Amino acid sequence: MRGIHVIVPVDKENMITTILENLKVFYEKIVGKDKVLIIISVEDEYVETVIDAIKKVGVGTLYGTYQVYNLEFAARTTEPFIKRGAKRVSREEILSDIRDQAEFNRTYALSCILAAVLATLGLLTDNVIITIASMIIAPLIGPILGTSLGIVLNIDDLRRESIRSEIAGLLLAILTGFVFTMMLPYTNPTSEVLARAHPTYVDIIFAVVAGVAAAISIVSIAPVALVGVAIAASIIPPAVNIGIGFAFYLKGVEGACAIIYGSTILLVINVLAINSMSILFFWLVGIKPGESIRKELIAKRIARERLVGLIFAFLVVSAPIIYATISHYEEKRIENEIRMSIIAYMSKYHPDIEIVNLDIVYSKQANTAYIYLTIGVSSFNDSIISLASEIKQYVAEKFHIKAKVYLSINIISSYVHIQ
Amino acid sequence: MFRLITILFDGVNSDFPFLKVLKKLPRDSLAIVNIPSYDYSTDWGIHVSPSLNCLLNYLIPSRKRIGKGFNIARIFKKLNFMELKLTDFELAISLLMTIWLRSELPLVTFFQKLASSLNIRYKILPLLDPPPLLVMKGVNGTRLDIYQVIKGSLIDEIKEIYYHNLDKSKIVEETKNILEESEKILLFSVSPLSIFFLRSIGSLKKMLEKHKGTIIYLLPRALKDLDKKILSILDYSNDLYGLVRMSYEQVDAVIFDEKQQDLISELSDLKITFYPASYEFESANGVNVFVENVLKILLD
Repeated sequence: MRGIHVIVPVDKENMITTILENLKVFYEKIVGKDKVLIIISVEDEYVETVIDAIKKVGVGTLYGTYQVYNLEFAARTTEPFIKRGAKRVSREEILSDIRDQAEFNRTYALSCILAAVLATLGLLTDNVIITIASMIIAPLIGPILGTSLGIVLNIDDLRRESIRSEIAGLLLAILTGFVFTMMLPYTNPTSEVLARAHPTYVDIIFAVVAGVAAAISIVSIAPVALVGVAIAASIIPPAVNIGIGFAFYLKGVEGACAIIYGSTILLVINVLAINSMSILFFWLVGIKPGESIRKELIAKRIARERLVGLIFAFLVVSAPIIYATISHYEEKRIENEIRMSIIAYMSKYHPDIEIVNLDIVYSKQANTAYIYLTIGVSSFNDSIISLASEIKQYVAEKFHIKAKVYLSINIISSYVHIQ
Repeated sequence: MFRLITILFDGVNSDFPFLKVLKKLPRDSLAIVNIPSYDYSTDWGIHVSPSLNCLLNYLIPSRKRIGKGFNIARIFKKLNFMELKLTDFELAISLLMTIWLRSELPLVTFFQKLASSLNIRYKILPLLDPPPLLVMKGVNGTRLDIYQVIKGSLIDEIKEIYYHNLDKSKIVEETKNILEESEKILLFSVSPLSIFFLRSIGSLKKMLEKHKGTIIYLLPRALKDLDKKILSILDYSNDLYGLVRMSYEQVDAVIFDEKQQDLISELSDLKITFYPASYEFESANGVNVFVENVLKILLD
């Protein structure tokens, strides 16, 4: 529940109360000599409608002011005679929160640097706990959501400031990662570093979910804890990893270029995914400019254009990962088919041979299946020696691929009957 | 912070303290665009721009004001050329503009030269080049004398309104740039005819619909007979409600006389901002309050 205080000159009281009465909103008023205080208590989903109605007649612009605050309890409220809005905080409250968080200032810069220092240490020492700690203090959720909100509401200064903060934060993270890696004696790419250097579809899904979660957290009435961590998890480690990659390059570490390239791709994908998803979410929950239908239509058009642009860029940048994912599934499908075929073949033509282990690795690029077959036999004969070639020929003919068979033979002992 | 404000002005029937508002605005970030919605051509081919005449009358410093008499109009009448109650200055401007347009020279240069020679310190710009000509037709399809209509006669006879040469008129490039860059555009008490005019030019209508800044319409205090007639012809109610409904897709906010608060409840279905302002121009204090209100909205 929210309370709204409207303070207007006495000569405007009638206009405001008429508007509230038309909305069937219950109010109390305290009339002073020059000004009147109108006190309204409404459920959260009506706040935006009430604020829009009073702003629409110049409160806050031309005269008077209004305040919105959390209300624990009110003995009397009414269900206004207005369309129930989405169960979310009002546009004004969201904007007020985001504007502060999106601003580039000393605290923001310092938080970015500290988060990047921790992330660098976490990545270089393979310490997940330190990496997670870095995500908790990273302040990037503000600028990212500010950019999306600036686009949805077509507020140029918010969008510009947020993009500036976002870029500055990322550059600080990259620079910090670089400087700290140069200062520290680490030269081995850890599994944490390598994980960010080889993005997969899992990273894309993570970024998409993080974007939606972040948007939900900011519009939600109930507080949602630590969603910024999800955003930071997608942004800070890849950014720092780029810096680590550059430092490794200068230190002559093998694979440094792959770390820089992979982390950059991951960072770009994550930024695009989070922004696209939060724009889409804000749009879907009905966040739009309140002052006029003209501005609403412009904002809709601009948001649509930018969203299409972001999604297109996202698809282009993530195309290699999506392609790799599709190829991966294709390879797994073929591997499974080869496995089933070999098992069927063996049971039909060599029922006396026991399959101990069968591993298949199919490379789509080389169009070759590497078959690692371990069998168990009780006696050794000529047909077993030619089994590798036989399976190779069978697979090659059936699947029109090249095959290479690695055959391991185990001799099985005879059963010993204990009298 | 530099914020460009553009005022669209048609001047006709305006009884607002225009100059007082202008004086309070930063001159360097202000442009005034003349809407030629009432421009017409006399039988003898003289291009008359009532809005430009009105604008110049407002902006020319008093020491530069000349030709307030009707001597040339009297000569014209005696020569049986035409009957126009334009001052010598207005007629001179009309003749100069006619010559300029016939020479097919850029109208923006004409405005610049006019402003510099008359010591006008504001940036004044034409909206369209060449300006289209207003045509009003009566019951039997006869063309009505625009001069008479503006003066208040023949209003009941109007059946059709359109603009001649509208397809040849292009938005002046400099004006277009200024409009696009403006953070606020103020339609300064423009008449229903001007709103109709702005909506009639496809490219201009589109530009206003896409404009990223705020467009504010300072509503007239009351409607004149001609305004009411125009609204009726265009199928809107012939009152301020009709005027707001007509302009509502092109503007974000309207400034209205705070005495007419029923406007808000009557038009509550429109998603538009209503700024109540004092329209008391009888006293100096009333004018100051009005100017202050307009400035608050423009500089917000």
